[in-house]
Amino acid sequence: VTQGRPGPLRVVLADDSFLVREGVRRLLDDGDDVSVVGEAADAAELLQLVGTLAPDAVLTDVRMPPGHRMEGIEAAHDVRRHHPGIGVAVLSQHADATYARALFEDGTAGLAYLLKERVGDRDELVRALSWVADGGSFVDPLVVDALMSGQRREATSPLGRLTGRELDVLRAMAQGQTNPAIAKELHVSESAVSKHISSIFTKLDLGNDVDRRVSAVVAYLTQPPSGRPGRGGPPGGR
Amino acid sequence: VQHGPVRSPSKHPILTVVSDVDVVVVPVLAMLSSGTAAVALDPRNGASRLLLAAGGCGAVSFLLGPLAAQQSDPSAGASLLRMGCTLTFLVFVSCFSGLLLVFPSGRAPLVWLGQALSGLMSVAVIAPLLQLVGSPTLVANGDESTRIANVWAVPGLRILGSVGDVLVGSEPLWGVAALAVLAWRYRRADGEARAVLRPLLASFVGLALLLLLVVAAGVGGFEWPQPWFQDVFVTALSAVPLVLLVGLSQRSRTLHRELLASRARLLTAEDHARRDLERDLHDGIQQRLVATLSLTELAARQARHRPDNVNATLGDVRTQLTETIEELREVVNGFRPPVLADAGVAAALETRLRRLPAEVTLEVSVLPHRRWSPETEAAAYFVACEAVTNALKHAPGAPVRVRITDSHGDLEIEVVDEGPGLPLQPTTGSGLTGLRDRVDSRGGAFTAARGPSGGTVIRAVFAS
Repeated sequence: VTQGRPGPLRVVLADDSFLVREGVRRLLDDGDDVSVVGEAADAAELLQLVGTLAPDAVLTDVRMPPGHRMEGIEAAHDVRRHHPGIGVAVLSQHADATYARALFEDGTAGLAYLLKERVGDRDELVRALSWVADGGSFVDPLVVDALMSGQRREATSPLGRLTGRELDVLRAMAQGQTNPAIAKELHVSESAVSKHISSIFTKLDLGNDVDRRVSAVVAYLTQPPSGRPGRGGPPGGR
Repeated sequence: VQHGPVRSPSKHPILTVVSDVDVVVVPVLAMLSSGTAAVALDPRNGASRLLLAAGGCGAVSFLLGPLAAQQSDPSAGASLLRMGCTLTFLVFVSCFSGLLLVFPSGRAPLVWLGQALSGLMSVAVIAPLLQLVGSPTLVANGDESTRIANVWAVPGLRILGSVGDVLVGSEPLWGVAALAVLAWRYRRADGEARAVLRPLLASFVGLALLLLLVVAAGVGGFEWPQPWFQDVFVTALSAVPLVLLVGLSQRSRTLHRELLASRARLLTAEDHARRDLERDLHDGIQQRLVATLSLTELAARQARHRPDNVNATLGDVRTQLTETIEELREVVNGFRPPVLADAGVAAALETRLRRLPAEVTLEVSVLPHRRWSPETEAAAYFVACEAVTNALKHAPGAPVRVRITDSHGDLEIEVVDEGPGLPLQPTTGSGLTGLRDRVDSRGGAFTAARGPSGGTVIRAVFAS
């Protein structure tokens, strides 16, 4: 995924826990594709480092001092506002949709919402970081499930019209998977995946632009239930 | 019905003002109904019960008076009626005097005052009985016109009769003494308690002024227009039980308000505890697990690419996991130590205090297998830990003594320190409020006081 970038992906870490920072740094640095160029213990330090180091991507904890609430999400918004070229992946212990919604409220481009257990899979972590560095979006599958079940509980939700297989495809799309990857995971042909995807886009009234499909899905899922018109595209796509 | 001044010294003082005895029914009924309302409002309050008892005895005495007067020939029944009339009146006076001592809480301000009140009530019952067995003649409630020969009198017990006469005759002093206590209580009370006592004191001052006018008029030879003056006096007298009832209702409302406030404080405290626990778990243990997880992934990668480094990384994983287990133990112990449920409050405190500085000592006067309800033990444990923490905070280095006692089945916790002692002006919102709430919620009794030699004594007693 890192094609088009000379050298390793330059990453700044932010986490108030030294242990986590240290563990993640050691893991990310264990390979030539990523280089951790800076570490911050809170949001203010993170913003300062981003300004001076201009990394490709940021991996930040969702809650940090002083409030221990959603400082990571606010910092992500700040980074995206002032440095649109820098992607931000937020590591969170919360699997419920509220936090993902807060992260994606002003657009999905260059943002990822990951659960902390992802630090147990370096490949996936690096994939998400490269993805946001390239302006893409990524939502942790567990959170997608939470988002989808939250919306399906609504009687009028178009998600209720999707078949089980279409929901599986939607879930895979939200993780930024390509059609061949989805086909492989679900053990179906690529043409079947394409058919499911166009059916999903029709049912959810989303634009059928393949490049934007993650953000389209994320945008759809993260819209608060009340303010969800059947609009054609995501608000903050590339 | 007879009008006109009646100031015979043989009559009871009240009858010098109230010539028309029938109107006495008004204050008696006021007291009876106020007492009934007060007991319905707060049956556990001693003051409510005293008010009802005063009303009941007053009513019985009032009904027996005319019956006794009708039986003007000496007979067993006539003597008994006179005795009963006097006895119920004296009990009425002692209950009413007692009210001035214990209003509005139902508790005497000093232990010996409570004992004196019990003594007074015994005298109210015993003195008329002494008269019955010893006095050659009996009157109904001090009314000389009812004096008859006492057929029950035993000649050899005359001395007892005289003692009874003296005790019965001392009755006006009871009220005066109780009034003096009321004035003393008012003097030493603070603002809030004074506000409760003030209406009662004011109504008695009003009554005293009215009586003073009577005396002054008697000395000056002036005759009051009797029916008018009588009405004023009876109305003032009837107002007293109403003042008492209002005071008791106010107290009941205050208690209710305090209960609501303490319930809210307990909920807040529980909320804070949950928030702290969530933070301990999320920011402590979960972070450690996340860090460990990243290290296991690192070790797995190293196993593939650089096997030499795996051992060092796995060592880090082991360290992390060990520390996580320790931290989990700390969190659980801070929340509710398992040893508390498994082995009781004494064992839990022993474990807890062992980790504190040496100046904290524990004295256990509880049999090893003596247990209380889990809620009581948890409250006792919490109070002891908090009190010790407070003592170490406010009196660092001073000896702290924790004592657990099985006090006739009750669980008693006492924490004594030799620090600077409580501030003279108790501060609201202090840690003590939280402790008091905790103890109150389990129906226990909590006291925080200065020790005899300085320092602070925190005591909580939980009924078994």
